Amino acid sequence: MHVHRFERLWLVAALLLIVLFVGTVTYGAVGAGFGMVDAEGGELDPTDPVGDDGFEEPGVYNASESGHFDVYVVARRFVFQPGTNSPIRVPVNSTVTFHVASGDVVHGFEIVGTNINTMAIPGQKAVVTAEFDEAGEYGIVCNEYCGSAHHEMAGTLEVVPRSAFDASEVS
Amino acid sequence: MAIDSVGTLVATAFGVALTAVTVGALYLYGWRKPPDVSYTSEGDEDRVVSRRRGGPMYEAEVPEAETESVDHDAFDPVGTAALLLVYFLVVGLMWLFMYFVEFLGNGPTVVG
Repeated sequence: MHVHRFERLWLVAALLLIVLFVGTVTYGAVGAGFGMVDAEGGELDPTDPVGDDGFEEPGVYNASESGHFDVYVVARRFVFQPGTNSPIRVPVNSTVTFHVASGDVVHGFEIVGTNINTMAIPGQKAVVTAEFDEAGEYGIVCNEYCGSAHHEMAGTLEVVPRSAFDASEVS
Repeated sequence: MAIDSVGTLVATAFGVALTAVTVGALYLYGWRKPPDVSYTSEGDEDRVVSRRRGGPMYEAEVPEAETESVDHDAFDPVGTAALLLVYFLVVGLMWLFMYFVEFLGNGPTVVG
C-alpha cells in the first residue's frame, strides 16, 4: 500500500503522542510513586458493613510504624464519623491510611484540593494512603449523591504541627 | 437600577436600529442584485440566459475552469501538516500541564 510521506509523518506523530500519554502515567505510578485507589481493602460483612475491622470505634489509630496512622472513617447519611462532628486530627509529616466504610448507601470521601478521593461503597472497604508534609486544614466532602442532605455532608481534616498534636487522642 | 435599565433599553434600541440599517444596506447595495420587479417574456431561453443578471442558472452553462492536476506524491499539504503539528503541540503541552502540574502537583496525593 502506498502511503504519502506526510501521512506517514503524522501517523508517527500520533503514535508518539500515545507513547507520551502511556509513558507519563507509567512514570507517575512507577517513578514518582503515585498510587491509585485499588481493591486492597476487600469486602466487609454485607449485613453489618461497619460492625468489624476497626469500624466499631472509628477514629485515629497508631499504625505499627511510628509516624504512620490509621484513620477509620464511617460515612453515614449525612456525617463522616469522625470528621463532621469532630475533626480528624493528624500530625504533620505523617503517613495516613484512611479506611473508609459506608454504613448505609454509597458515599464519596474526598479531601478537597488534593488527589485523595474514593468512593465508600456499602460492603466494601476503601483504603487510601497519603503523606501530609504541611500543616493545614482540609475539608472533606461527600461527592456521591446520598440523599436529601447530601450537600451538607462535609467534614474537616486537621494536619497540626507535632507540638500541637495531642497523642492521647490516638488509640 | 433605573439608569441601568434605561441604558440597557437605549443600547438595545441602538443595536436593533444598527442591525436594521445594516441589513437594509446589504439588501440594497449588497453582493446580490435585487430581483427583477416583474417578469417579461423575452423570447427563447438562450437569450434569456445571456441576459440574466444573476449569472448562469444551469451547470452546463458554466464555462469549464482551467485546472492543474498533480500527482499524489507531488501534492504536499504543507499547511495541513503545519496545522496538525500545532494541534499535536497543543495536545502534548496541555497533557503535560494537566498531568504534572494539575494532577501530580495537587497537594497530598494517594501513595498506596
